Amino acid sequence: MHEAVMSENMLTVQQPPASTRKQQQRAENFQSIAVRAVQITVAVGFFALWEWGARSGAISSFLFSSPSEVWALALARIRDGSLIYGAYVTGMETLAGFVVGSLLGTALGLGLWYSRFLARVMSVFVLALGSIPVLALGPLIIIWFGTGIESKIVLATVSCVIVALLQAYEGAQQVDKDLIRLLTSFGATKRQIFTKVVIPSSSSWVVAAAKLNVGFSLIGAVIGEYISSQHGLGNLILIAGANYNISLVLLGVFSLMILAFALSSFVGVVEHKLLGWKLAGR
Amino acid sequence: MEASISGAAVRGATGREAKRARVEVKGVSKWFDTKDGQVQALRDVNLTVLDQEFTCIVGPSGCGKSTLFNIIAGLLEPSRGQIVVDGTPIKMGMAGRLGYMQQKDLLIPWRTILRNVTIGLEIQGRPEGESRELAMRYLKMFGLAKYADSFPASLSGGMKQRVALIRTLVMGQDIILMDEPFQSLDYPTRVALEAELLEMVQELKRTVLFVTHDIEEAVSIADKVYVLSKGPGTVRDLRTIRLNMKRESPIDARKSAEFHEHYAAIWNQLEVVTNLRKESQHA
Repeated sequence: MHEAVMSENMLTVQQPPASTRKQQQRAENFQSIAVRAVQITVAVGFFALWEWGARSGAISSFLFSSPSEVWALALARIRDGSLIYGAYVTGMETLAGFVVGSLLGTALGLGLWYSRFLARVMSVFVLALGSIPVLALGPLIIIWFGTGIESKIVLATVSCVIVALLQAYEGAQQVDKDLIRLLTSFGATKRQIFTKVVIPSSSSWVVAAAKLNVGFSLIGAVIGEYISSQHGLGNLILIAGANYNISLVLLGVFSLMILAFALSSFVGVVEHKLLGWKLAGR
Repeated sequence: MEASISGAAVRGATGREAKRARVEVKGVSKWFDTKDGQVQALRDVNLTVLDQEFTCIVGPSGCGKSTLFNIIAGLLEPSRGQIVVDGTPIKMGMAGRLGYMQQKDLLIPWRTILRNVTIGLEIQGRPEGESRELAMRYLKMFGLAKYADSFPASLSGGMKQRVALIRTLVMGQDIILMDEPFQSLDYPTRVALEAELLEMVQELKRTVLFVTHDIEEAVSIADKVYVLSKGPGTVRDLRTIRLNMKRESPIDARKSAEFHEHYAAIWNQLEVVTNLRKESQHA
């Protein structure tokens, strides 16, 4: 038996020699650095060109503002707290809608695994609901839930619930049938199969949906703010646009960009926690 | 070691008649409905697995081995005949009576090796501490204890198949069905695993029914080999294998003179089968 184990190890622990691996690693590192350097150059170049254009008069600074103006405005708005508050409101609306929508959609999508009949009945309604543009629902939801934060949360929820549902359902359908048979051979109940195999194996689908949905929720929240609101980044952009305050519009847009980035990094952290096993072999 | 010596003594002194039958396949036939009408996969298959015996079923691909395996495992209903385990006819869906291992390792990627081994025990509601202890004991026996907290993705094919074997053994059923479990492994790994399996099975006094299309594998590990003919599958021959060196290891078994005798005899059986089939096709 020991001989057998040893011969097996000799066969399986055949990795490329250390020197080649190091070279590969080095090449990989070099490329990551190069990618980052080019990215920074492009961004800096873009802002420099824009600033130069605005100052030299090559582009209209009234229509396009300039990085320095946007930056000055950003500092002022951060100092008086209004920018942070706006981002906070929009961020909370998005996050609340995202969490509610993802949980609801995932629960429904996975739950449909229990009944293939119900899933088939529901499919046409899910597609019908999913095909409605969120913008079209805006006025109704504002009337039903008011002009406060609630209507934005509902819009953000509606924006992501269908994608979460479809992804979770698809994930549940993709579960390895042999794995289910194995558990059945141990005498597993349907509930045990659901909790031990279906839910965990759908997790990569659920996380993939979440990555998309963070963006969709943000769209939903901003749409709500556009239709009727007193606060938030959408409100800020809407009012600035009405006043031809291009610098403020651009500040709002950049703030939304940063907010979206922060929210998707948050999902990335959750993904890493949920799907740590996927990275184990690499 | 002691177990295997006494086991051999029983075998030598009293012969196999003295042992009780654990699994009996009685007159099993199976037809499948296809769009071209009914196709017969198995025809009147009879075989018996005795207590603590290592029985192999060999046959060419398409002889209905897997069908027979699934019927014995209780995952498929025979069209005719029955399966008797320990004197009781078994019905479909009687999961958990027999241990079960397949070609695919079916390890759950998000569970650690330890938790993959304990999945069956967990489903049966055994206390967690007890399951972990049992699993660790088996992992140690197979030299895999240091991988207990690793994920399957970081293990080689041979190691994964060992874990699948442990997952089957840990359930404690003393009859184990195996369907080409080492098929996807490279040759040396396969021989190593055959040796480990043989040693474990003797030490733990398990009864094994092992399906394979590899004659070499069958002759080097089995006490008894049933040769199945091609579609519809039926038992063509039963060979009792008694290799002097077999109990040492399947590697030594392959060196013995009787090994080649059995190998050639079974091979000829399969040749005859293919010739017959050609003739019947011409007719």
